[in-house]
Amino acid sequence: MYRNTPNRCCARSLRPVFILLCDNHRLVGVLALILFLGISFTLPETALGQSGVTGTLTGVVQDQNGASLPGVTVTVKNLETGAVRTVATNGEGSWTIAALAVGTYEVAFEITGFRRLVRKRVQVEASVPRTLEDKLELGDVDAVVNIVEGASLVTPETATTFRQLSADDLVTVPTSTRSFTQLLSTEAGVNTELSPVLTNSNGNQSPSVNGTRTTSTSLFFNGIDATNITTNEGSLNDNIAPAPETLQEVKLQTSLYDASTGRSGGGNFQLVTTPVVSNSMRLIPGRSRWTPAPRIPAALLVPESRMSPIPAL
Amino acid sequence: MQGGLRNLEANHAVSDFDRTHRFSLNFVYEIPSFGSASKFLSGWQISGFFQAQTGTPYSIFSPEPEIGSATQYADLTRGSGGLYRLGFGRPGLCGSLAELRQQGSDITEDSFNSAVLCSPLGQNGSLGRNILRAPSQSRFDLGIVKSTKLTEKVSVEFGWDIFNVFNRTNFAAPDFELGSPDFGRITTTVGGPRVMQFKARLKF
Repeated sequence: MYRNTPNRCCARSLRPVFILLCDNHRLVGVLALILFLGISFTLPETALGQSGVTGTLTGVVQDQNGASLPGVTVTVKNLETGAVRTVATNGEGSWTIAALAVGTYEVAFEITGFRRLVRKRVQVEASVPRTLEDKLELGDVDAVVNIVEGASLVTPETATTFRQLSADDLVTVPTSTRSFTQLLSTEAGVNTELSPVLTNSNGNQSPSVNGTRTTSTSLFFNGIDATNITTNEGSLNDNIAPAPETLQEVKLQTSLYDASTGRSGGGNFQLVTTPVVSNSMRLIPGRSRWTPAPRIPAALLVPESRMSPIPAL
Repeated sequence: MQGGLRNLEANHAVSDFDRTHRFSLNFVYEIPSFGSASKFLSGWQISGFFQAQTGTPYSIFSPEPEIGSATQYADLTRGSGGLYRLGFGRPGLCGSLAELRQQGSDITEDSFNSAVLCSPLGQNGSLGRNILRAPSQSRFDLGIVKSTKLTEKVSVEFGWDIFNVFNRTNFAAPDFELGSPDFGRITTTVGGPRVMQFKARLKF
């Protein structure tokens, strides 16, 4: 039935090949479908495409008197992507959610008989377990207690010595070669030569961390070991030097780091790039949400009246 | 490896990356507009990066220490190992370390007193490893940024970065190779002269 439909613009012999191209209505419909699927798949979904670097949130929930509260539902929501993970506190009132993508989170605690507690803007950083200690108040579960400040600066779960720079620090403070290595050399125990100016090299500095050789430093790029990317040693002089605008977070761990992040005795640089959405929009640190995906312009959509009816088979 | 094979103390010294003192500081200060909504008064920001540190240690050595003929026996740059040499040759020290560390009036010409160095006379030189230090270094970088909102989403940022604000000359280690024409002289600097750059950035 489909094949036998007379078609004005195609010669009969060419019809099998050109049937799609000749039928204007159908062609536009197919193109619109492709466009729609393409846009709807690329826009929000690429926003979800997080880098492979993860951190951990952990904590203890107690009641007002300091007794541990088992069975509290802890909901962790990524403010950038909307991804939600839930866990219940154990018999000691403690909870852990590992492998959370780096970013800003909202953490909610809920159990019957207590007021709901919401922690807004909790930062999850690469390879740093953050501890939240919360006390729930007796009351109606619908009454919400909001805590705006994030997790405590002290991280009792890890002994790692590190310094972390945000995207803002990297862009704001003048560094003569625009390399992430320069500002991190202000960390205690790190020393390096004065940074060069007017250089044609990548401008990275390979610091000596706690007296180790300058080649003992390792580099992780979005969770991937990028230490030996061009040379067979840990020197950063010949390694990647991404522009500061492309980095979301930069960290240098100098001592007592976790075995999973340490490679050699020196320091560990960790770079996390800014996730990028199509349309070259990006998440601006400090803003809680992605800019909403633009609507498909009406001109690109085919009015329903002009669409061909789906042929019966 | 330098010096006597059976003398472990010969190479006992501070590491090549050692700096006795180091101070570094960076800051970002947003200049308050004191409640003014003026586009000219708000959005000013000043930031800086200061580093000061002692220099790294270096050793005096000769890369070609073999004695080729008897006439070279007392040559300062020869000896220190001969056939049994593993690495580079070091001269002997005929005086005290304090004498060696005496600098001339112009440190770029005489960073140390080479008159107290003497030929090891075919033996291992007595001069220690990493006993001298390059001059100390310091640099202050300053950045001034004015950002102005054009619309709710778009803002423009003009910046002026000054590297090495005080134009301090930071000398590198002197030429420490025996027999080199520039031996004892400082011929290079690190960290560069005062350099400024202007930048404009459109944020959206």
